[in-house]
Amino acid sequence: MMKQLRNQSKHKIIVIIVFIAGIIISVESCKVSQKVASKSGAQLWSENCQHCHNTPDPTSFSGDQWETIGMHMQTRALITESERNKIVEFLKQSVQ
Amino acid sequence: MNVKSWIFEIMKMKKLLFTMAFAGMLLFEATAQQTVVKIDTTTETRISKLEKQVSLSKPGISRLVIVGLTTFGYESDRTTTNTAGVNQTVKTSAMGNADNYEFSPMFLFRQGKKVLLEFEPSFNNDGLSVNWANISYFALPNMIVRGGYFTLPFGMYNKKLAAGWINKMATDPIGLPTGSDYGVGASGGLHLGSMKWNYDVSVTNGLALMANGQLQSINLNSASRSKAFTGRLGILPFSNNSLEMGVSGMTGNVANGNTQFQNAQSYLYAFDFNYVKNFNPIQLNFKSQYNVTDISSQNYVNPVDTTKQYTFSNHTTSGYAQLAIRPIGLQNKILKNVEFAFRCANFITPDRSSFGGKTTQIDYGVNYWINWRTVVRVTYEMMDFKNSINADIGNNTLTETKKNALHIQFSIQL
Repeated sequence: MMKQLRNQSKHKIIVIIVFIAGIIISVESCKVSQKVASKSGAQLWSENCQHCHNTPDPTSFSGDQWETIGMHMQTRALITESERNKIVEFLKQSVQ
Repeated sequence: MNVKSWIFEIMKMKKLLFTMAFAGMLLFEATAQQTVVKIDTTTETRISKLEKQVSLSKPGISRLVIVGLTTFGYESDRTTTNTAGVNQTVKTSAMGNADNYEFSPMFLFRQGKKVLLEFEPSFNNDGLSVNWANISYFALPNMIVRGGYFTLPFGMYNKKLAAGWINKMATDPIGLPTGSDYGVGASGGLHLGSMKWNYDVSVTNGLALMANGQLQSINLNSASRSKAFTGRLGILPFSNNSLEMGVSGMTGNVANGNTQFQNAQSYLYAFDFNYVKNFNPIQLNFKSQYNVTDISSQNYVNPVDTTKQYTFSNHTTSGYAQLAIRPIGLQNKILKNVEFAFRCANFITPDRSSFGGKTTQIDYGVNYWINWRTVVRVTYEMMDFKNSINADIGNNTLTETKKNALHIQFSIQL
């Protein structure tokens, strides 16, 4: 009887440890890697746009228009907000 | 001192004060003029530039962007139908049809940094319609909430690749099961270490089952209270975003008020794959999507004898694979804008149904990109359809239809 209880406790502890480890691993892996975080707007523009269509010419739209188009593209391509901000900033700088 | 000399002294002081005031004014004026000169030389250009920017930045104009696309072209085709061993050939040509003509301006209106309205009416040979009209709220850095009439998040093609100026071929791949619908949804992208993933979910009116068992892809007036749940999960495993793989699912009651189909449930799945990578000087672009549609077992009214019913396994599959190659790294200005594309697709509808059959679609394309958003396309398409036989419902003749078509098409993003 005692042995059975000990085994049950062991199982519970293992499950809890695995669960906590899973959460830690998940949270850790959700962090943006240094490689990804350090990407420039130009690099993101090149990588993300060509996924569906040709990379756009930055002079095709004004800075304000790029803000709006950036939001539209986020709804379509599901890029992250930080990616959108970097790409739009790069395009706006290229317009000037 | 007498009064006379006192007045004389005052007069002298007045003159002196007047002279000093005059000199002061001259000095002030000179300094002021110097300041003006300084503004002219250093700041005026900047000021006029800013004035120009301000005048152009009227809220209504800066927040509204009109983009969209237009496509027009020419199609020449030859269709040969073999019915019970007898051939019949028809040749046609058209300047505009659903594949060859479209004018779709897209209105994007941004309200601050959180709200975006998207509206795209479309005019083609079928008339005037709306591709989407929805409002999005950028609730969190990784979550956009939307409502209205929008493209369902099922597979990749419909939402991201169908636009005329994006598509590598003049036509769409056959058998894509969904379109747009009314509802609400949420979507977003997230980093996962060096990887990235994205999600897109929605609740909409749903699809409708027609009397013959076909699924109506767009349901504008849902007569049933049950709704369809659609979702896609995409993952980009490489940090350079070159590959995206997605899995989609959709389910919902499709009876749409039809008492005969009270418990009709639909189960749709899709798998998509998108790989774009530059291997200097070549850009490799591979895309594919595979779709499965299942409807729960139903009895359908026999079109030959409406007092009788018949049933069949309502299982439909479709899929396409497309490869495009473009030497974008070449120095030659003409060659670097030429793209070669190949696509094969198939569409298998339920055996023993009134719409059963197998269709294959093969496309060869050569595209010339005038600039990043303007293309001239030449696509040669071969379609082959064979129907399925079911004598019980009057389908007792084997028919094979072969269609060869040449498309010449111009497409531009506005």
